[in-house]
Amino acid sequence: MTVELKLSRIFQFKTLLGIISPIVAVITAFVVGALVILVFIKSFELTESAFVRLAEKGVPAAVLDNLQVLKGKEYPNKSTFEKDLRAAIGDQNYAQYNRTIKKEALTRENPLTVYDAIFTAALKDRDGWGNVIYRATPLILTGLAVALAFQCGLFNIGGEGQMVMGGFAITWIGFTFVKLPAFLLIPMCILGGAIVGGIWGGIPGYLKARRGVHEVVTTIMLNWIAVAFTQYLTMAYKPKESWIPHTYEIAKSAQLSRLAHYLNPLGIDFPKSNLLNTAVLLSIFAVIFAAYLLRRTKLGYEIRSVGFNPTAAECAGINVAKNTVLAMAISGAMAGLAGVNQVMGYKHRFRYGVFEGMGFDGIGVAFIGRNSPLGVVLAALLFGILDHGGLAIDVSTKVPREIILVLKAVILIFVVISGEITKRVIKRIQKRQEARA
Amino acid sequence: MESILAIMASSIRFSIPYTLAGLGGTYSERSGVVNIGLEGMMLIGAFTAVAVANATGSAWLGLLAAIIAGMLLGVIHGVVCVTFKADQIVSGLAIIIFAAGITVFFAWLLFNQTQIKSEAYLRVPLLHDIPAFKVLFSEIPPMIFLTAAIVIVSHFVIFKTVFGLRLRAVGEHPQAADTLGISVDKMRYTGVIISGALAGMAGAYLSLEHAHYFVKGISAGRGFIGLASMIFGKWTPFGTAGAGLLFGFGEALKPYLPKVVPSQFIDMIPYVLTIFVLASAVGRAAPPAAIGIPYIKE
Repeated sequence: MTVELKLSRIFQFKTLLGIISPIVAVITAFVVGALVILVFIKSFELTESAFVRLAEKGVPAAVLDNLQVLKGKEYPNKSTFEKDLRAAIGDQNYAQYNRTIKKEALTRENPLTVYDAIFTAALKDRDGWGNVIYRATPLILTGLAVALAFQCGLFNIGGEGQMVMGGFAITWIGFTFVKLPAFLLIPMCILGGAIVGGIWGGIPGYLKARRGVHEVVTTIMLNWIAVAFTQYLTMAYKPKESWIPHTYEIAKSAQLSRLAHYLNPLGIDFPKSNLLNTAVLLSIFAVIFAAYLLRRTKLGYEIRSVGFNPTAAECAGINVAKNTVLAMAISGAMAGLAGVNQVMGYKHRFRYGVFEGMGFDGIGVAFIGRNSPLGVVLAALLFGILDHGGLAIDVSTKVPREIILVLKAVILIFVVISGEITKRVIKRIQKRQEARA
Repeated sequence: MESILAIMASSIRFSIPYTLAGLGGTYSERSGVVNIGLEGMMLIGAFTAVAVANATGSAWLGLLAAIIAGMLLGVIHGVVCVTFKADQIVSGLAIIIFAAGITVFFAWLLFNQTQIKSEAYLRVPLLHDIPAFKVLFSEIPPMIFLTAAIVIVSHFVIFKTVFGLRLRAVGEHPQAADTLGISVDKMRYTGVIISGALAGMAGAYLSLEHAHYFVKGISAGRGFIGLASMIFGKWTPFGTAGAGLLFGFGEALKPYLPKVVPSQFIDMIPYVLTIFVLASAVGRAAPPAAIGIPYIKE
């Protein structure tokens, strides 16, 4: 076997593992989520069939008669059920039969119905997946931000800050230059968001390159500075009559139209209430841009070299400092554009609540997507499904929708663990092949 | 004069969660593990404290439960970062997201609401009956003394004991420590678990003593201010406590400030100062050398 052939085999194996490991992680996380639901979601209800079973188990008819008061009532809480049960059948019978009755009355939630509710709500019709894509749109941008910086060996957890700073810039331009026509104002808003986000991302890049400060700490701190600063700005630009802490509305010419506006005239039926808007085109463009930048340009090559081995890159004449600042600035610009969807496409005003958490979700998206542009899109869609589908489980099941956050956290944990295991497996295989050669 | 005293007292009260979380960060980072999950550990602590205190009627049991809950999250962080050598930042982030989800999840399940009033108070059993102490404790929560004691003990533990020396060795140069027969993994686990315990305690203070209730997202970035206190205090217990006091002072000053100074600018101070001490040329803070790098035995 020639060396080239062996190398290509390793490469294929690596890609395959790279694709499989996040999938395994996601599935494992769903299993853990199912266990959480099975263990903790329980309620007590005495149904008709429970009465039959209780009679079979030898519970006297007199007790069963007393129990009729509780029939059909649902108790999500064990202690209230116990209280009512004791009141209904008396202390003595309670002591004798409470275990049997509780066992028969206990109903658990089937995790599969919960997952089914999530995926049905997210994917069953155009409205569902339209909302999924709408929710994925900003996550693609914040995810790309993390992925791009990671390619340069930098961990940008400042997406949240870069996003709100960019988002505020977009809003400010949108409500300040109200006289401008759409074809000027929309590009100005987008550019403004990218520049301000880029500056906010460039600061930690500069501090890393010039002063050797680790970017993780500075980006964390800059997140909170950005949140406090935009909160101040929001109050400063709040309409006087408004009780809600949000800014003035952006000009009509800066607002993006919903996709239904274009699809309906074409004869494609798409609900008008669906939030999916033209900002999604920007996200698609950003994905193509990121993929092109990384794979086809000199800058992308340099960024990846610095990420792969900064010392070697330095020796090869690549300016590590310059690439560090540039990678962080481009990364920040990407995150800064998340506001295009959130402000220009949806809220038309600035409010932190519209953004909250999306910068951090971007980190999850990047890691699940293994820091590749295409992977980021898929992971963002997964998060979109969870976010949109999660709204449905509050209505149709007894599970609080915060289970979605738990799922996201567990996915994240398993993704980093499986990524690490994959890395070790690949290393071991390479070593073995080297030893054989 | 009275307002100066009031500001001083409330500075100390505000500083407790920062100091405790910062100390937690110190133990973890001294052992070489970054713990940005402090925020999440704090949140879980805050919830557990109220839930257990309300169920048992004892706030001290609530505090204990919060410490245990924090430690459990510390174990998770340890498993991910020390055993599996996975990324410490992502693990910390996952812990924050997990805590934000699981606390509200259980708040809905157990209490059917996201704001839970704390019905028990932290009281020192015998001392509290003495009139003089009664006045003292109504003004100054007993956890202040506990925190002060922990700060002093931590200083001795980290800098004057064999355990502390090993902890720091593992965080500065794990290979060397390993060569001398110190188990890097064991020391790092210990550091992270202590860190979880202290962050859980900080959370219990927030819900039991500071706010008297638990509400969704009550930690509100205080874990990160704890992290900032640790960095500003250059990874030392006394430094962390000092920084915690400084940031608490800023918080206490807020109601007394003239209107021209927006409170949001006070909020930024800890973060701006942290970046400043990390980047400045004079009196620069340097983290432990092996921080964030998993130790893999060759």
